Amino acid sequence: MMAAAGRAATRSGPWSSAPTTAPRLGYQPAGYWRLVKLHAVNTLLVLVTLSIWRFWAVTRVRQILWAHTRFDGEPLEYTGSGIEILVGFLKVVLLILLPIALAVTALQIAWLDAAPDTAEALDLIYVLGLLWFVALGRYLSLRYRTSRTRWRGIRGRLAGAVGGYLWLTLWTSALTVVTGSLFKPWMDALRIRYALDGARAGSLPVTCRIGGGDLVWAWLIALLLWPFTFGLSLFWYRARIHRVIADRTAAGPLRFGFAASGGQHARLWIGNVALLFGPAVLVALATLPALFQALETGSPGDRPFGLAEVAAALILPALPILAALVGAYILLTPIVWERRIRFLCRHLVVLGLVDLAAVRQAADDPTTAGEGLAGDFDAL
Amino acid sequence: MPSEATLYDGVDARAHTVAVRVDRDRLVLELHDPDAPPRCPLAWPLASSHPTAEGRADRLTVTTRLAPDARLVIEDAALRAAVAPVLNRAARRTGQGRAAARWAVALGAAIVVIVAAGGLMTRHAAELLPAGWGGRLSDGLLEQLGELHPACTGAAGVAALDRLAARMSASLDLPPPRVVTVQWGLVNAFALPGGRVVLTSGLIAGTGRPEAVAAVLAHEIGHVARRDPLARLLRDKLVDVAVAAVFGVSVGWAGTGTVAAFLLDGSYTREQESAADTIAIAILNDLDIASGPGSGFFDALARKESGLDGVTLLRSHPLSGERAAELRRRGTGTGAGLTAAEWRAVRDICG
Repeated sequence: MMAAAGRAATRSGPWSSAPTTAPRLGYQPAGYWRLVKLHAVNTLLVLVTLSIWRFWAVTRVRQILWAHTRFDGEPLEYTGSGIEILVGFLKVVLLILLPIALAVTALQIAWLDAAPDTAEALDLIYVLGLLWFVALGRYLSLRYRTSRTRWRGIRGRLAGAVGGYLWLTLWTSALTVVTGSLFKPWMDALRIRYALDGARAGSLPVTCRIGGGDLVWAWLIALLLWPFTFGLSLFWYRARIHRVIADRTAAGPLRFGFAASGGQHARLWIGNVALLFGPAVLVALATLPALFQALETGSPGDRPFGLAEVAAALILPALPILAALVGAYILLTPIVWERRIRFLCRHLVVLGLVDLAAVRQAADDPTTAGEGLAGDFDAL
Repeated sequence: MPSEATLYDGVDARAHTVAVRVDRDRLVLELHDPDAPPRCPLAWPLASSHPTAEGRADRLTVTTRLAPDARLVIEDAALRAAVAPVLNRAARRTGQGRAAARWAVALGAAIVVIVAAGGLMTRHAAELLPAGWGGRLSDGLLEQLGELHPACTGAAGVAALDRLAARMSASLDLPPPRVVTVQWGLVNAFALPGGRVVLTSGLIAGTGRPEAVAAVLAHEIGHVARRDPLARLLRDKLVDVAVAAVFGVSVGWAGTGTVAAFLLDGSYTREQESAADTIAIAILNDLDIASGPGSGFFDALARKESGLDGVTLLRSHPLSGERAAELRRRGTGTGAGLTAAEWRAVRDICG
């Protein structure tokens, strides 16, 4: 109803602060071949620089995708830089990865000798560490991207401290594992709330009132249906999370809705996986007979295969599969990027009108560090 | 004739329509609506004005160091063509960017120093750890290896090798190592952390002489005495971290310290090999075992297997002519190390 009211409002001049229509998020295609060219060059440079270029690669891609994403008709601007993301990554390596590597090594060598029965506990610690890394990476990524995104010159900012989120992810991950995932809805809600509540879009305060109770039934049902739906019920939970986040979040006078169903989430995700790996799977299926034949004809009778013989027999038939994989990566990844953004734009509903004069600049995020391991844990 | 553009002053989100013209060394912005003036300068020196992130071909967004939050959006093609060439792209480099670059260099250097120092310290760290440390890890690896290459169980052969290893380690005042022979055609031998030594059936078949088996075993016990496998394990972990730092992912977080790593992950350093040789020669001399057949075996191996089909002893223990000659020259022993019956049992250890 608010959106209808917004659309009914009178449009005024571009310098006016008077609200016009309810803002919408939209995406204007950036040009397929432009993205393919950029992605191909980036891929080449990532290979040549032993992956160091990836920080600059992601920056260039974001610049283009952001610039073609419009909120209320005006494009977003990405102001992040490769060097900042590199710094964030190096900080994580120095402060987290290096100490953990040393600790895990020490535990493997020393503790296992002293108490071999603790191997499972060590594995659990390792899994928790990985979960923690992923969660931390995502938060750092969101924080960095928010602070480096501008609309009409106004930037966003998350309020939470990394240290607080670190502690939150640690105990919520532990509790989720210990309770056999029953705590997961609360973990998700607490993390989302920590990230969003208190954030700012310029001077507009963002509030997020999501709670674990909003998600618990969806999670339990998704868990129960998991074996019967081959895991697809998790998309239903994912849809529920998106809907609840949107329903419980406000930015100043703006309210949100997210209309995607579990099926639509599944189609997006499965479609993206099919785009990236489908061609290689199809080629593999087509070349399997030739591959087996090559192995059979190359077999030296009763004698077992040597490594070199197996490699020689497999390389030629595997080349088309590799080509399909690389080709899909180069040619179809840009489609995956745009599919994700379009999905967001199509399903996000913004309600309310915003007085542009009331949207004032947020304080700058003083950090020069980037997003830690986000580039590795949080795909575009 | 000035053309129109949109100005965001960076203070609030309102748009201001302005006329833009280039006046010598400045961009001059003239307001269309003086009643709602922007709160940013309206004369932008060209030297400090630069395009922002380039994401669109159909618009030019300019900012200035005088008001870094302000944005001037030019969509008019003619105006874009007039303004773009006179902007100073170098002005984009901010103090924040330079600070980030300094941080990157400092952090990168710190990581390199820590990893390098760690690499150098692995030897000392390994020496500080108790003799048996890493043994459980090695037993796990041997269990995995056993699934592909079962351990040989010929009781007499196992006992003969255990006796020989016990005599060798006793001469160094070390606890006896656990010697495992596996059914594997590969000509190889390697030591694992915690005093484990692995010989392959291919090695025993390939040597043809008990003295050569003894020389190889003595060499591996030399590595055990020096804690080389443990030092290598620690070094591998550090290399893994360094690789993760470059590539963003750990390629072998759980893979380092595997049998494959011990076979494939390069070799010990020349200094480590020479030191293990020195210990081996001392052991062989102490037990009166001839070193000539051992060095002869290495020479023959080097001649025959220059192609390195698979992973051979030479892959994990690079052998130089000098080292083989040293083994021959400094060896004083004359015995075989094993009795004829023991040697038969060892040859039949895998059935």
